[in-house]
Amino acid sequence: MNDKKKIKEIEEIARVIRKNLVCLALKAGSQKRGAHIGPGLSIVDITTTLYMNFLNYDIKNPTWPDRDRFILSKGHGILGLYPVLAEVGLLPFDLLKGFYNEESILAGHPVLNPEIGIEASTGSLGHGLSIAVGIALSAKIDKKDFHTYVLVGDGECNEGTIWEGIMSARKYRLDNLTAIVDLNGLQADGFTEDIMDMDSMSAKWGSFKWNVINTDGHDINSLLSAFDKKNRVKDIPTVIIASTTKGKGISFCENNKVYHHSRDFDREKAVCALNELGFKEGDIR
Amino acid sequence: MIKYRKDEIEELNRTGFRDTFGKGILEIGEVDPDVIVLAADLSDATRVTKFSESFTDRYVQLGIAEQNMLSVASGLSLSGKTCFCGSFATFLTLRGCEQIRNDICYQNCNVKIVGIDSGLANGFLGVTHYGLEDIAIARSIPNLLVLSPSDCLSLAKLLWEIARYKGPVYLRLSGGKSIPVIYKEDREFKIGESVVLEEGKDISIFATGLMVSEALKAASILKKDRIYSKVIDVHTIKPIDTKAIIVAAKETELIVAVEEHNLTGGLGSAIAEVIADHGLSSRLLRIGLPDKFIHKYNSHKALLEKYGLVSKNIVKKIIEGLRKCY
Repeated sequence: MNDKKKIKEIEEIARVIRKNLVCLALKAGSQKRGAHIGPGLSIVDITTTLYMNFLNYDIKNPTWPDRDRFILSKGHGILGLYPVLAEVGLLPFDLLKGFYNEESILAGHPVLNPEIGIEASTGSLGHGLSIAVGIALSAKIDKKDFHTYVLVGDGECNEGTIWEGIMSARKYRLDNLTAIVDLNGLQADGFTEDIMDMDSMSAKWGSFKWNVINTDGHDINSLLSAFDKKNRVKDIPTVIIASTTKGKGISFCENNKVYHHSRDFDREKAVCALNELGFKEGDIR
Repeated sequence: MIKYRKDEIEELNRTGFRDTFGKGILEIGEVDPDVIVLAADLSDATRVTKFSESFTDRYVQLGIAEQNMLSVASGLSLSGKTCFCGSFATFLTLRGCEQIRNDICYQNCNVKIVGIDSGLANGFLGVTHYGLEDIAIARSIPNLLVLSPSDCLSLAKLLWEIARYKGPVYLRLSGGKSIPVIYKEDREFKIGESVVLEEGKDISIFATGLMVSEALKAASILKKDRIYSKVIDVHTIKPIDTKAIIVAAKETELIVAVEEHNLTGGLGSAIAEVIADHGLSSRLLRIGLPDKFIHKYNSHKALLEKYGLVSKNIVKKIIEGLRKCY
């Protein structure tokens, strides 16, 4: 049984993260620049839970060699990561404020910069899992205890390289690697079952002999249980299949492919979104 | 740094590029515990089986999955490892192109990409196994050095330089055994510094890989006609030795580039870029393979002959080129 207070605390932080995500979306939209809003909202509860409760890092020494790694393989989910990194103190809030300004170092996809918590450059799909396999493998070779987490999209699993990565993680017995599949059922062109029906994601990963854990990707209590170390199995990598809703938390974004990547997230929409999240226009930063 | 005796140099060249790489990586692995070798089901062909037996925990076999191999190497390198990934030149640079660009070069990872059997070395295996676009691809990716040694001593020596260099490198190797000896005696090589093998006042022949040997032969034939050639071994195609090209442009009336590669984007193109960028007025003759698929399957030697990458034809083209100069 997870601590109710902890659950409440993470839920509240996730609400703040969504508010900050909306602010980033508005910064992009007000300049008529596109941002992946739905893919970010989809992963917020996962990234918040990981950074608040599981990842081992030192904000005073962000490049500490023994830190846990988190790789956002579905790089277009970045709006669901920058605000989390800021909230935990890895990424200065000022950088968020300057998002999409000309001199900003924050791109629309992650760019390797461990100083601010970005562990790999991603964006083209199907790369991050294999990079994570390399990092986890190096930990095994060097007999280090850190854990590597990698978040992939369900649409991303259309990429053949994902399955190459899956095979190699199992072969090298990477029990220090946890993959998370953001199973939101919607990709750029439409519903995943229409674009490339992958049937049961759990059965697929399971058939490659991974340790498969299914969870609700928005329920903090379920996520806390899913990521619990006691679920890990010796010599076997773990995958957490997290059922999510693309655009979660903002009704007009939910399951709406228009918000996969949108250029017209204006102030009116932002205020509407903030109200739904329990914030006011004055909370826009 | 290992020094080679004359007989050892001959032996290296007798065994070929693959064996020389396999021997070299084993020696490097012995002194550098951070070196990891990755394979994609071509460990025999890349001659890393001895490495795999000697350093079981530093050898990663990923099966027939070049893209995954390259990305895994980038991950290992992000944790401080020096990775060597080997496979056929074409499989690495074409299939793995995006992994090389995004995961290895964009992240400036310490990964060495070793492409064996480049050019037409896989003669009988057909177009899918020819590596004729690799220089063009590798050259266009930022952060990536492109090396193409002419014989096995230069490979053995440059391999240590590559291992010491922190950053991504594409190492282009030819295939076969009994490689013509360019360097009879031990010497050092520096990445980015081409080697003048012969001095000559009339033309400058820049060649890379196996074409260096043909260029030397062509130069000796031309000498009989009192055409004196400077012959330059371009073992590093990127960064290109700009200084050597500027000198050649000023001192000789024709620059010749010879490569076993598509004429688009290779050594000749790199030299043309230097000529254009520095406002040089030199004439350039590019000798390489045509921009079309080669539907001929024969021994490497026979294909080189058929497509004019032998001294006799190089001489003919140079004489034609010189006529056009007047």
